[in-house]
Amino acid sequence: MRHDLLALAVLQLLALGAGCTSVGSSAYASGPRLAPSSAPVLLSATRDPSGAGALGVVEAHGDRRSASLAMIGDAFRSSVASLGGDAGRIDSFVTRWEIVTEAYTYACGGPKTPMTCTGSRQVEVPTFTLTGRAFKLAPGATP
Amino acid sequence: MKPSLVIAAALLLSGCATLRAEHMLTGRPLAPTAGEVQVVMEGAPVPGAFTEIAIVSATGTLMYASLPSVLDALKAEAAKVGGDAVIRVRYDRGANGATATGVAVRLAAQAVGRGDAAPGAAATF
Repeated sequence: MRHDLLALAVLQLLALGAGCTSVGSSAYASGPRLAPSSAPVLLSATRDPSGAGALGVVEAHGDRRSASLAMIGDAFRSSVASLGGDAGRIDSFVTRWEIVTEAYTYACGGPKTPMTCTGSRQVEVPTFTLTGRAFKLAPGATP
Repeated sequence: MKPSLVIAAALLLSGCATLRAEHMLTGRPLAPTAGEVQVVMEGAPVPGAFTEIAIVSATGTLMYASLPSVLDALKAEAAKVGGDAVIRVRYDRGANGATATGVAVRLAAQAVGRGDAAPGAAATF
């Protein structure tokens, strides 16, 4: 019985972890193909880096109920780095509020026969998206 | 309706309603701003040169899902990182929530006048 409960708890944690990936990002190369960069990525929401080469388009998004602005910004930086970039320009930001049907689990059953039940509910989800471009700074350029 | 029911309903409503603001630095934070923070909506002209500091965002739900609530929170967040203006402000409204997002900046004249970083010095690029 104790092992069953432990297994159930582990499964619930795994399911929770898999279902809670609330941040995502993607990149589309439209310039020179470079190897992914491990250098720090600088961001600006108002200026293109001077003398830098454009590498492609990037976006990052997240469910604002669980993802902070910093987390989504880090995902944006990762996308820039995946194109070999070390500078990112944020061209636009938008929050889209959508009503979605969400599944949830709850403890049910009696003390002797604990069970997990599944339900569904309608919630409003704010998804924040950053869209912009990746750049490679010119060698020796001071950001 | 009984007053106790009204109070209970108000408590329930205020307990669920949230208003939160946060920022993501894209420049260097400056000393907090004590004065008024200007709001410049997306598409409106930006008043002169500026130093970029951070992207700021405020989200309100239920009773805080309104333009005044989220703009006040946005201005307070910008002031915390030293901004005296929030530019490119975008307002997105849902059924029960609202978000305002913009770029916190220090306008050039104020930056020089206060002896802070010169315009452009703290810019990311």
